[in-house]
Amino acid sequence: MKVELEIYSGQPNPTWVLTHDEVDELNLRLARLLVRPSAGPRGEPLGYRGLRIAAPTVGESITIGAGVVERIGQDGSVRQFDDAGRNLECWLLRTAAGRLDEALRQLGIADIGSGCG
Amino acid sequence: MIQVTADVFSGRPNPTWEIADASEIRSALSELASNRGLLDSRAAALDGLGQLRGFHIDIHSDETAAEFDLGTSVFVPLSADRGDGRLHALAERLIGLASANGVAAGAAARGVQAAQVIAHADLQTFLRDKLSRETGTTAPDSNRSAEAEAASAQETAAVTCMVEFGAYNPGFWNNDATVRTRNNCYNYASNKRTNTFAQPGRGSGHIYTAITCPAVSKAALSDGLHQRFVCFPDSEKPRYLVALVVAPGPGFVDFHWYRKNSEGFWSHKPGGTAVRNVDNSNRIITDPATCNRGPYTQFCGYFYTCKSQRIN
Repeated sequence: MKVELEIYSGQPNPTWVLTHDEVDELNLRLARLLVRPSAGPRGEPLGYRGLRIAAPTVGESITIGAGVVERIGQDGSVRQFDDAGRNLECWLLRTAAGRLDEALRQLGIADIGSGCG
Repeated sequence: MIQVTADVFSGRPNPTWEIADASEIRSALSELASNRGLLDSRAAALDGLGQLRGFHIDIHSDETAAEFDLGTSVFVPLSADRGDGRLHALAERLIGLASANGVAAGAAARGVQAAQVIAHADLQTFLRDKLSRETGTTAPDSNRSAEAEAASAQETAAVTCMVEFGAYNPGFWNNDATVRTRNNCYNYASNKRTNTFAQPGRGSGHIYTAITCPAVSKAALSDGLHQRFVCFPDSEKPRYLVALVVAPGPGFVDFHWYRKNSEGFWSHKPGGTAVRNVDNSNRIITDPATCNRGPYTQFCGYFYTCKSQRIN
């Protein structure tokens, strides 16, 4: 499964691939997230915006950033979940160590702040 | 397949073209469906002679029509565009889809002789000219404006170029996930969807060799863009005013583009995310040179895009 660092505008975003064990853990972490009432689309500024995972199930995409996880179905339906403490985002960025440009990875970690290093 | 007929002539047969590309059809019908409240079959009779009154869309599959909850024949009346520009933007799209093959096929389907077929480029120019006359989207861009004069104490020759300002139409880029994720800021600024995450210079075979203002500017000029105040002729309509910025690093290096809209503000598309008209402070963008651009701190300058731009 491929994870995309949502950071660039002009260039294609950098990506890395999760191992089978990491995919299993990701699924567990996703299943534990609490639903939140939809608060409209996430902010998507220029610069680091979060992470995107394509097709954990057919046609679905998941975006993770700023404490919100959005699961967008093939039919365009959107469900939002709380990423408390941005733990899922931080864990995914840790899996990128050694597989992603370190300066870019550090931009994501710095955006999350203390507790994610 | 769908067939588009521009409702423009009175005595002569109206120009017709066909669209066969499945993704183009879905995109066009999705736009039509999202503007269904503006579609009004009575509008054709209300408008004047010699004007581009609108477009008839014939959908050649009732299944496709049903999927988008449209009839098999729809009229897009330009008179229903009450200032928000949505129908104008849709009209721009339909004109842009009048490809060489489509025009020829459409004419052949109606038994028109080859000599009578209007060259597709001429047809596009003709219809765009009609469209801009009736909606007032062509405007002068002069280096003698107050802001230009304030920026430069040096006396410079007066240059006025005519440019087009397309209506802000984020739905075209945002509603379809494929369109949203496979087109970037360069696609959006150029108003050309390629689904290739277009790169400056790739279309002309001279992609940038570094991500700096000079290198990305050179690549874009190679694709056919002009520096601001180096005018394009009318045959290059639509000529959009765009701006290039660069994130110089360290650590984060990238480029980004903005486009000016007919509403007076600027809009942009950060990578594969949604089109918006606000900056990183969530403020409407009145000038990309001064808005909050996050890490894209270097302002490279303004450019014009053009019809013959090579983009990929």
